[in-house]
Amino acid sequence: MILIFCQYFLREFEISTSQVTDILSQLGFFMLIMMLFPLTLGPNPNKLSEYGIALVWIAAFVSVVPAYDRLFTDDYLHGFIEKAAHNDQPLGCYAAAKCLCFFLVTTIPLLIILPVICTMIGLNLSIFFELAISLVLGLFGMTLLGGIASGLVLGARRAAILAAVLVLPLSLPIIIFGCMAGIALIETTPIKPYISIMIAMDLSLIVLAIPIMQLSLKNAIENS
Amino acid sequence: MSSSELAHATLSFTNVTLFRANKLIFKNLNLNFSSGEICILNGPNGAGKTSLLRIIAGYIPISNGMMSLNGQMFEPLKSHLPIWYIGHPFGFHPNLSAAKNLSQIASMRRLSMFDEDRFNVIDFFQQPIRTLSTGQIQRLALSQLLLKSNRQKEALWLLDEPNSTLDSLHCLALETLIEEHIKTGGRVIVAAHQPLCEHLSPQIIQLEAKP
Repeated sequence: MILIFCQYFLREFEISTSQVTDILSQLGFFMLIMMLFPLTLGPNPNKLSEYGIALVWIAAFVSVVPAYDRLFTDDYLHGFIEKAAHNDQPLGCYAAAKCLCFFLVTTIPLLIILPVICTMIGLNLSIFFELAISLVLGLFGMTLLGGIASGLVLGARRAAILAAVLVLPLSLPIIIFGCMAGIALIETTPIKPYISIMIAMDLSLIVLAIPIMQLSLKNAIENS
Repeated sequence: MSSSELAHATLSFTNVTLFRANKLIFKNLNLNFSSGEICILNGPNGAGKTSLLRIIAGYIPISNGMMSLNGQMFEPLKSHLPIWYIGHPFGFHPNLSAAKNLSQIASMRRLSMFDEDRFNVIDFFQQPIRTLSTGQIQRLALSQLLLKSNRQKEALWLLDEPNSTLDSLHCLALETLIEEHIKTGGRVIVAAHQPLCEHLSPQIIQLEAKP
């Protein structure tokens, strides 16, 4: 199973690297949203840094959500999911590899430009490491939710917007605890409790999401 | 069921009925597919040829009736019988090269690359799928049947319009390939509008369009 997982992962990685524009446009979208805040809230660094954490979270989420409908749609339309169904390994293995790769290619570029963003909105770079950890945990959970949504909307009309509408309410706990961790960082109170809760959410999502994705992919094949 | 038994088992449909989106596609279908036999599904558009192939591939569940292999309930996706469904969409990613797509499918199903390039796919092996013509993609899809494994002989081939976009040379290659597969005890079920393998006197199943 691990071998097949790695093969799926490598395939995904090759496809992602052949579509660099997707990654760049998502990154550009994130940068643009972040640029709007100093323009709308005013350039006062104190005010910006007060809202900074929440702004980073919102921008990160809003920039990745439109990508979720892409998660399985391409493979579904090209008939790859059907091919994967004839494998010895369950479709959950494919879905997990896909989500992991998607998570990496959306999160790593975000983390690379995060220091720039932090400076732009007046956040102290000393909290960068912790902020990055909480964002990684948050985006990991988001990807799994996105995977569920993307699997469920396969074959539907206006799938992109439907996936976004499904993901955003479900992601509220992640956003709330992520922001609380960020605020704790600024107030220099312990962030460990929030991080622990986020890890717990991510772990339970892994257990829940993989069977749900497997079922929804199977269902999508039956209806294609 | 051991693989040697599988190789000679008969695949049977007993009173199979299929509804899709509340529309009756076919009703009480009784069919038998023996090993070493080619079966051609005929019928107008919408008669359910592709649906029938997709049922056997395990993609669509039947609404009623039973599908069995040697008297035992047959669940295609859980069965040990190797199944190849070659029909549109072919499962290739447009951005990856033909070679990459094919080798991924081979490694996914633990098969090794073919020795004999019967569909002349080497000519465009390094090109991304999106730059290929429909016929070339079809040839690449059919090349999956050439991938090697020790169980490929007993495989069940489900071909949906395999010769619709092929030139005469590659049609001939396909017919030879099918003939060889049948002679080694494989099973082939084809949905086709154009005549195929007529010299092998295939079992022809006529499906009727429902009003």
